[in-house]
Formats: sequence, structure tokens, C-alpha cells
Amino acid sequence: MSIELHNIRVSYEQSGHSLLALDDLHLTLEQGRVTALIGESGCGKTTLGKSIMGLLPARARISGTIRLNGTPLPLGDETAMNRLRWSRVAMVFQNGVSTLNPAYTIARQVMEPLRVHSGLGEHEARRRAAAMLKSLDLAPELHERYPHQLSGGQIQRALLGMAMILDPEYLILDEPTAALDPGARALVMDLMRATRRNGKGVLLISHDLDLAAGADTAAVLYQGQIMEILPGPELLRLPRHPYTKALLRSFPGIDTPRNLMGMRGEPLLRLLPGKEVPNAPAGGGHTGCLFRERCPQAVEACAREAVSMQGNGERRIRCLRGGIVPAIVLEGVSKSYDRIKALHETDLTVYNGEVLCLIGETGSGKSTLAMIAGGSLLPDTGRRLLHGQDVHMLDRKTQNGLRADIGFIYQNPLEAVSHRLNVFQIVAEPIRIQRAALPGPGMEALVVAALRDAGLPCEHEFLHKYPHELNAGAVQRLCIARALVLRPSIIIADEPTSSLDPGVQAKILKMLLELQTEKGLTLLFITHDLGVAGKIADRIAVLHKGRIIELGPAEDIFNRPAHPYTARLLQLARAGTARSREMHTREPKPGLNNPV
Amino acid sequence: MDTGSRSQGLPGLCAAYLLAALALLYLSYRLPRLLPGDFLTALYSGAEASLPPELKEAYRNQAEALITRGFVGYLNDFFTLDWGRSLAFRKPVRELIFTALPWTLLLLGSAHLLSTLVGFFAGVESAWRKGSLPDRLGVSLMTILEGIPEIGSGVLLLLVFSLSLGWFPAAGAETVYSDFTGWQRFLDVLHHLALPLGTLFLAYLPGNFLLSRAGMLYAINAPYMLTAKAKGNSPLRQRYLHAARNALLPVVTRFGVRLASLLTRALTVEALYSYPGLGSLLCNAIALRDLPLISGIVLVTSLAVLSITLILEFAYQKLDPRLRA
Repeated sequence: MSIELHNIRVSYEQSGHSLLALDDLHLTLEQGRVTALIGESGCGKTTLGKSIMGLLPARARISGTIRLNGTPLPLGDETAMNRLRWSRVAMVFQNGVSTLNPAYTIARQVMEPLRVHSGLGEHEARRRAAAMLKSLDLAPELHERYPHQLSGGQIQRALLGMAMILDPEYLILDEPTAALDPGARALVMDLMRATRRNGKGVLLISHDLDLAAGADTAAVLYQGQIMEILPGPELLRLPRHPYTKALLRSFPGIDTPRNLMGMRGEPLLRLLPGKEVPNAPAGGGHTGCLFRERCPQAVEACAREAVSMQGNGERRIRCLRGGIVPAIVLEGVSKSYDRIKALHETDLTVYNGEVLCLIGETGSGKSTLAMIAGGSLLPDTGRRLLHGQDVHMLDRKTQNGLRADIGFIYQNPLEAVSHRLNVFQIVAEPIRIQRAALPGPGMEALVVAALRDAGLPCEHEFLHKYPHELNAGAVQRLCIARALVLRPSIIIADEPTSSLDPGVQAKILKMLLELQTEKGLTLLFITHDLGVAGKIADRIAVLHKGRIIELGPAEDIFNRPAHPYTARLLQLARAGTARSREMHTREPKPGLNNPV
Repeated sequence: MDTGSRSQGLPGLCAAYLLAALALLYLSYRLPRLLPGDFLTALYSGAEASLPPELKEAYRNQAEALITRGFVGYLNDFFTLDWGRSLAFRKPVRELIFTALPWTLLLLGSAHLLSTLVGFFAGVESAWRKGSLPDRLGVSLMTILEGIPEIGSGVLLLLVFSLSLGWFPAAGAETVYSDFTGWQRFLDVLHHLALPLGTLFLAYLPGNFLLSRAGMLYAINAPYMLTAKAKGNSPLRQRYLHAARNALLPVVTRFGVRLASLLTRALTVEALYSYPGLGSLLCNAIALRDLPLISGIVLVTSLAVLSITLILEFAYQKLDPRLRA
């Protein structure tokens, strides 16, 4: 028993063109399961809910089939639809109070479906509505009130009661917790659990990822197409589509220590010229992946080739590259200096578009690992794949080209630049080495763009300044500009802010993160400072004595460290903070200025 | 109908209206005597009508008596329905008003009620079919009608249906010197009522139609209408129980607000068709400088408007639960 949506396509006609709201959509809502539909606002979530109820406005065009327990919905036949509405599929609309009629009491609106569908008398209908509302903890004295006299939480209870009054087989909840406090949220979650237990199907439309993670299945919708379908519990931990990942990075999870990163760019509006044509190809005028402009790992083919859902069963994904791909893979790399083993055999995968922090104390091998990852140090054993290619198997020219895809930022900016070169020469050096542009206006444009990205001035005088004329923060920005000048997709930053004072450090970190988000960079960040790692990392790898002892999402490392060494590091960092705080807050001793 | 009176609740509301009524009464008591000099001379200067000397004397005495009795005496007279004597008609003002009032009530009431009902339902149906041919035609027609004053449409109707076609009588409220009874009389009254009623109906209809339509369009697009549809309500229930119920509010407000301006508009139409209502009476009274009659009519009508507004205030709170604090 299920609602099956097959090849659904919905567009809204506007003056002169139409807006594609949903296309190539296949989804099954099974009874006894909660299916969550997540995505940004405007992605078509509510349109999907309304499609199932047959509530699309007149200017909407829908094609495809919706089957309710195997029978196609009679979408054109209002009378037949009216029999199905609410009695078999009911919906809780978003925006609470405005979805209730201001002219009638709560009880009257809750009992209305009983009167319309079951033809019950006034008295009996009222009795049942009261029982339903009471079961949702809405006190009897509130039943005869009007919508404007109730609070948001009470309204939500009334809406839920109204939706369940006919005991429908399927329930569509549209943003049921958007405007609610945690208490009312718990009620919605209880109710979803109970509904599922009773063998009802629930479609939960939400942008609240924590809530969606409690569903059995989560479908991620982006601009009308489902990007990924995965089991709810895996939503927060194992997303495979770059969009799902980007959503997670934008979501203020309660456990997440890192700053909110957001997502680069804006979703494209899928406008079609002229009126909707029947049997139009999927994609609606846009060839290729809809997310490619905002995707950190988009390749040329993403713009060209049609992307369809791949995989079957529990996990399906719409991505030409099969989901998030690794940028750098290190397999069994090790390194010794003389007889000292700096790095034991280590595996490490850095995924596209993520911020991976390597943390560990001095001498733990983190810089060695970073240099091997960046290709500036050859490991004694093991192999290194850059964008899936074994670099050492390639010819020299391709190798050099691949090198340009990685930018380096070093710990001490003043040592990282030659003080005999001026600003222009420093930033232009990688271009010269890579012969990426001829000297002249092309080269200058690249340099200016890089300087601007790094937040530096780009006037003529500044280009001819020498490093000693600049302060430390500006020199580090200069190094960042140099790392960015060849437009790499990977940045390896080795303690880039540890020699800076906190004010400058904060600015540089913010800028790096913004660059990472806006340019879709992959960032491998080496630091010994747990505070910094927590603010920026998606994942953290902890190094100790030349081995990675723990690797996982930043929130796991911070809240549930698995390795005793990690726990010790955290404890030391926290104790340090606590001790310094104590120094300031200790009771002042009585004295001249502090009379007892 | 301000929010202040509403928040005071029922007793406060009644007190406010009572105060307003007292102020009106005091004005009508005081105002004629504020005219400088001999008010009878001032009253009849430049008028074709004049009073014979013995009537002048009688009226002076009447006015004198009023002043000596004071405002309380005036109030007493008013509530015992002793509203003085008309100078021109030589009858008690009360009698004149009570003879004219039923006709005005019949004409105004039926025109107002009919135009509101027809306007409301036509507006609701038109809005429901927004953009269709009947809707577009309706809106254009009503907009044009809104621009024609009742004096224009009245003269036109009179010319076409009475003077040229001869279908309807041109004047009066019933056939004079006829002894119609029962049904015959009823039909005769309707026959006479048709043209003035039609004129007023055409004058009031566009406003009601356009207001209902606008309110309905607003209600149709409200989120609760989607809920109403989702709940499986039939289109008729959606339209009237859910949308029109909310579009009713501004129409009822207009019903009340309009009452005050009705009389002045009816005046034209009553005069045009020589309909024996308050409007014609007032018209005549002004032409004949019949001060007791003028102040009697003005006082009675303003008090009537005041009390209807008070009644509407309660009806309004009944209709819109949001106004009940």
C-alpha cells in the first residue's frame, strides 16, 4: 500500500513563460513509514504536497501519474477528488494560523470534515472533534475559541487534529515545526511516530534536517529534481550528493561546533520560454545537472550530459560523478627522515569541497602528511591519487598541470616570500613557473583577481611594494593570493594563522572559509589549535606519533572522541581555557581597593 | 465605530451613543436661536413664501415658550412626541413625519437591501469566475454605472419608461382617489415604487458589487481557502461558507456607513418622482422655510442613523470574531 509518484512534472504558467517546479520526479510513500522531503525554500517541496492533494492552482500544469494504493488519482475530476481529499489523504499546511478560517471556531473547523464526508450530525461531530482535540492536549475551553485567540503551538495542535479527524491513510505535514518551540516540536515527532505505528504513511516536508533525520527515508529535492534518496538515519552522517552535503553545512545543528558556511551562488530559476509543451524532455531546457553552478566538484560533462537517478532501493543519487568524489587519496603512504619514522603507513581521503583539519602536536607528522598530500614530498611507500589519477604514472607535463591545481599556504608568511621580489612578482611567480599566461595584460589580470580575492588592494603602487613594507596579516594575505592565482581546486594550508594575533587570525580564517565556500575549494588545513579546527572543519583527523589515530566529523571528534589521546587533547584545551578564566574571575582579595 | 468605543464593551458603547444623541438634540434645540436678529425676518428674507402676521405671532410665541421651558422641557417635548407645529402645512410636525416616513423606509429600505443582496451575490460569483467573460463584462458595466449619478439615471428612466413608453406612473406612491385594497393596493404600490426603486438600485448596486468582488478576491487567495478545498468541501461550500463569509464584512460596514448618505441621495430621487417620502417633505419644508418641520426631520433622521449604526456595531461584532476582544 503506497502512494506512487511516477515521472511527475509540474510547471506554473506565467506571463510569456512558465516556471518548472518539479520534473522527473519518482517517489514512493509507503504506509507505515515516514518519508521526509527536504530542500531549500522554492525547491518545489510544497508543490509536491499539493500535487498529491490535487490542490495546484489553475495556472499549474501537471503530468505524470500519482497512484493511491495502485489506483491513479482522478486529478481532473473535482467531485471524485473531493471524496478522496481529507478522508484518505490529509494535509497540515504551513503558516499555521492563516490556514484556518478566521470566522469560525476551532471546534467547527475540526468537525467540518466529519460533516462533509461522513454526514454526521452537528452534535456527534462536535463530540468527536472535542475528543480528538483533547487527545492532543488542547483544553476544552479552547475549543470554542477563534484561531486568532490561540498561540502558535495550540494552532498546530488544532491543525493536526483537523488533519487526523477522518483517520486518513496518508498524512502530509508541510513544515509542521517551522514556527514552533522545542516542546511543540516534540509533539509533532511523537505524532509522527504514532502515525507510523498505526500503519499510516507520512510525508514530512521540512527544511529542518534534524527532524528529517528521524524519518525512515529522506528525499533531497533541489529545484524540482530529487538529488538524493537515502535512509533518514544516514542523512546527517553519510550524505553522498554534494547538495545534501552543502545543505548540512548550512544547517545549524545543535552538535555542530563549526561556523555556518552556507552555500555558494543562488539556485537557478527554471524558466521555460513560452507555454508548457506536453512530453517535454526531462531537465526542462537546462541540459546537465541543475546543481552544477554551485557544486564544488562540477566537471565539464556536468553541464552537457543529462543526469538521471542512479542506484536502487534505499539509496539513490542524481550525480554524474556518482556522489561526492575524493580530491586526494593517499594509500599506505609513509616517510622516514634518516632512521626516524615521521609518518607510518597511512591512508587518507580528502573529499571534494570539504574542509579537513589535521590536528596533532608538534612532531606528530601532520606537516609531512600535508606535504605528501600536496605532492611536494615523495613518500617512501604507498601511492597518491589526485582527482582519481596516480600522479607518478603520468608524464611530466600532465604532472605539472595537476600541480597547478593545488595551492599552498605556509605557516610563517614572512619566511614564505622572498623579500627581493615585489608584490606583483610574488603573486605572479606561480604563473611564470607554470607558464599559464604570457607576461602582459593577461598575467596582470590574474594577479589582480587573486589579490582582490585575498582582500588586498590592487593599485599600481601596491603592486610595487616589497614585503617588508607590509604587516604580517597583509603578507599572509599575499601568500593566499599567490596560492589562489592559478585558480586551484585544492588548498593546503599549513598552520596559516598560528603566527598571527587573534584579531588578524579571525579575519584571515573568515576570508579563507568564504573563499572555500564561494570557489568550492577543497581545504586541507593543518593546525595544532583545537579551537580553530572546531570553527572551520567538516572533518578532523587527529595525528599522534606519525599515525592517524582518529578521523571523523568535527562534531563527533568534539562531542564523542573515540581515542583516549583525542579525549586528552580536548581535556587539556578545555582545562587551559578554564584555568585562564579562573585567573580572572577568582574572588579579589580584600585590600585597599576592595574593602571588606 | 472607532476602536475606542469597542474596547469599552457594551455599556461604554451605549453610553457613547447616548451622549452623541444628546449632543444632537441640544444642537437642534440651540441652533435656530443662534441666528442673529429676528430669526423669522432672516428666515424669510429673499424667499417667495411669507407668513401671515397672525402665524408669525403664533410661531414667535411657540419659540418663546421653548426658551422659557429650557432644554429639559425641550427633551420632554421630544420624547412625548410633541415636536411642534409646521408653519406651512399647519399640522403637527409629528403627523407629517409619520405620514412620510413609511414611504421613505419602503423606498430606501428596499433599494438598499436589494442592491446589497444582488451586489453581494453577483460580486461573489463574479470573483469566483475571475477573468471570465461575465466577470469582465460585470466589472466594466458596474464601473460605468458607478459614474452615473442618480439624477442622470433617474431622468433617463423617467423619460423612457414613464413618459415615452408609459409603463410606469411618473409621480406619487399610489394612485390617488383609488380604493384599492389588499393585493390590488400592494401591486399599485409596487407599480409606483418601480422607477424610484430602480433608480436608487442602479445607484447603490455598483459600489456593493465592486466591494463584494474585491473582498471575495482577497478571501479566495487566503491560505485558509486551500485548507477548505483540501478538506473536500464542495465548490459551493468553499465559495459561500468559507470565502464569502469573510468577504461579507466590508459589505456590512458599507451598509452602515452608507445609511447616513442615503437620505440625501433619496432626496433627489423622491423629488424627481414626487414620491411622498421624507425627502420630498424636507425639500418642500426648505422651500417654504418651515423651520419646525426642517429641524424635526433632521433630528429624527439623524437619530435614526445613530441607532442603526449602534445596531450594526453589535451585528459587526457578531460577524467578525476578531473584533470580540
